[in-house]
Amino acid sequence: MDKALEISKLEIGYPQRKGAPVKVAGPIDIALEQGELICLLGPNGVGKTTLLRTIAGIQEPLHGTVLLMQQKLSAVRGKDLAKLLSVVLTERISYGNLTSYELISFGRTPYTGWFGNLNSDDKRKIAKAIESTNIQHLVHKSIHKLSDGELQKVMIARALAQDTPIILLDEPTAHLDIPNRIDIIRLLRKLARETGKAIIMSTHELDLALQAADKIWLMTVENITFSGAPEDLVLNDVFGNAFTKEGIEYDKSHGIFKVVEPHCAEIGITGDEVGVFWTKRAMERLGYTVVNDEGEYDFIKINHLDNKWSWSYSSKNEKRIYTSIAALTDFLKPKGGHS
Amino acid sequence: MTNSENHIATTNQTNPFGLSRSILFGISIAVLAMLFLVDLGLGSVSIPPVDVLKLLSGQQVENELWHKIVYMIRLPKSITAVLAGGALAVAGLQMQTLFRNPLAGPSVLGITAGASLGVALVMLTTGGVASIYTIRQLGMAGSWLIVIASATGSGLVMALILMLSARIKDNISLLIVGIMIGNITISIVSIWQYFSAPEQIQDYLMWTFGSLGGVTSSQLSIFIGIISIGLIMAFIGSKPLNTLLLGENYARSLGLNIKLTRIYLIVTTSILAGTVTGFSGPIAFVGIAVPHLSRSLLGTSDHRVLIPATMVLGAILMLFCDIIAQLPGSQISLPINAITALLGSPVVVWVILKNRNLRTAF
Repeated sequence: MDKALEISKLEIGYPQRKGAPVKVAGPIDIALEQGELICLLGPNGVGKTTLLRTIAGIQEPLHGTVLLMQQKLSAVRGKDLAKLLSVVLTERISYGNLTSYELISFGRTPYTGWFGNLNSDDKRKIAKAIESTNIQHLVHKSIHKLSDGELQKVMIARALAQDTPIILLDEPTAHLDIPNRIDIIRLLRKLARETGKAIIMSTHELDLALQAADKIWLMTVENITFSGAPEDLVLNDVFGNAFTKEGIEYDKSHGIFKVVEPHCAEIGITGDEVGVFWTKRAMERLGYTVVNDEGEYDFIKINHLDNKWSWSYSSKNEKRIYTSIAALTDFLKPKGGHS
Repeated sequence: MTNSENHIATTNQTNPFGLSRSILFGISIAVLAMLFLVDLGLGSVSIPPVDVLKLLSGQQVENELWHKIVYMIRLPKSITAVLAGGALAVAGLQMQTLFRNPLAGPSVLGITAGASLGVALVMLTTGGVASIYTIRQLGMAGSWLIVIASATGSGLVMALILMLSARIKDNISLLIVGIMIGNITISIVSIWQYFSAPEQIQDYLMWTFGSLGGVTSSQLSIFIGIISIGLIMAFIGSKPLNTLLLGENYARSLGLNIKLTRIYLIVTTSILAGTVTGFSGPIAFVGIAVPHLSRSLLGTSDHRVLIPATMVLGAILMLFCDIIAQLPGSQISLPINAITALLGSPVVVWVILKNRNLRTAF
């Protein structure tokens, strides 16, 4: 398939009033196929937004070239660029007494005449954008009355109405609750699949990105240090290394980040499988190392009868029964250092 | 799909009164025409509206003098009121969208002060040669002098503020800077006045009170011509203004040339606000109040609708202010500037109270 975007030797950053420009990252060499959903990951402050802004032509690159659908970004301007690439930015639209429909129809700006009247083709594209984002119920609503999740969908619909082969989204899932995040990512995935658009989104939702993205671009200090399938990222330990900080560890077997506490003791847990899973999490949070078989150490036996949970804790010198994990952890919590 | 197309028709027609826009527009035009007739009839000599109508349609009336009063004095003044109101309101609307600031307006951000500086330059520097009365005697050439001086003055201040707005992102700070620039401009004029001859100062002071009657019938054609060009330019700029509602980054991503759009809007606003100020003096609050009034009445931010609406509403407000300034039934008339501020400021407060904040009203 054709490359939607090709970046070569791209250096991004900000020119300064005086002296040499501040380089944020580069030289970056990377490409994107049509129909792919890319998640751009990376710690805060490595230049994800700067990269997206540079690709979108909002700011100038320091060096290097960006090819959009085989056309040089520096040579495409204004309306022609607006027909190649649309954006969803982090800035909130706070001005304007607009309905969702009016906002979405602004996506047609590059195609309409001097007065901005919509023809039947424009209206069809808008209706299609509304349909694929599933926001028919929002079209009359004023944008001030929309929730964050709804507004984000309207902004995505606006980008769709712009009808471009490439869409860039800067943290489209920030400030959204989990169901809305999943909704947005599923939507983008579907769009990439069905419409063949190339979509790049920057995000901090590592687990969702791992599940939904065709490819991950991992940006660390100065450059994109990895690009490939999410699974390769995990298996090659790239992921863990990029994000690991003191007290946080990437658990490869479960695909999640864990808060690591200093070990204090070993503890055994037996019983109902689901019960063991969650009790184990609670114990690990307290800093216990969990062993699965009964042995020479303290252990917890989980009972699940008639939909009622209970935890019987036994150690060398005592035996106690608890009816909630909270009560159990309260008892097992390492006591303060002063005692 | 047909379903969502039907929605458009309905969403475009909603406003607080539940009336269609064309009906509202019709009502406004009718009100405007009525006020225009009343305004023509009022003054030190009262003429009944029926007779005004007769005079305008070319019929004879008993009183010969009335013909002269209406055609020589009142018609130029009322036409000036209609155009000045419309022009200031549209200039305010453009500035509010360009600066993304609901409190922007020609008088607030020092644009009229800039125009004052231009006019003061003409009136005070050239000695007795170019006092307002001699300028009037100069006729066409003098009118152009004032228009160019005031539009240049306002254009310069506006460009300066726009340059600063690139550095100051905060609306309130920009507003304060704008007010300060306005103050600096005014103080320059004051220092100038201090060193000027008393006759010149008096001319200038009279001008600062604001007067719709300042446009003589010989200047009227120039005034009408320039304001019409400015209003048509503003209307042509509807689509870029709409796009700017999304913010500059989105506007750019939609293919808008931001730099060109800014220059276009500065030129248009300077022509509108500068010309009106040059001829009628600094008239405050019409520019800031009317755009808000139009938005709340129509419930939209679409400039294709708002520009004609602010034009008509601005004209209505200005005529209404002029009627009040006549103090119907009395021989005296008040400076128009006092009345516009008296009526305009509560409108702004009302809009803020109604919407809790100006941002959502914008």
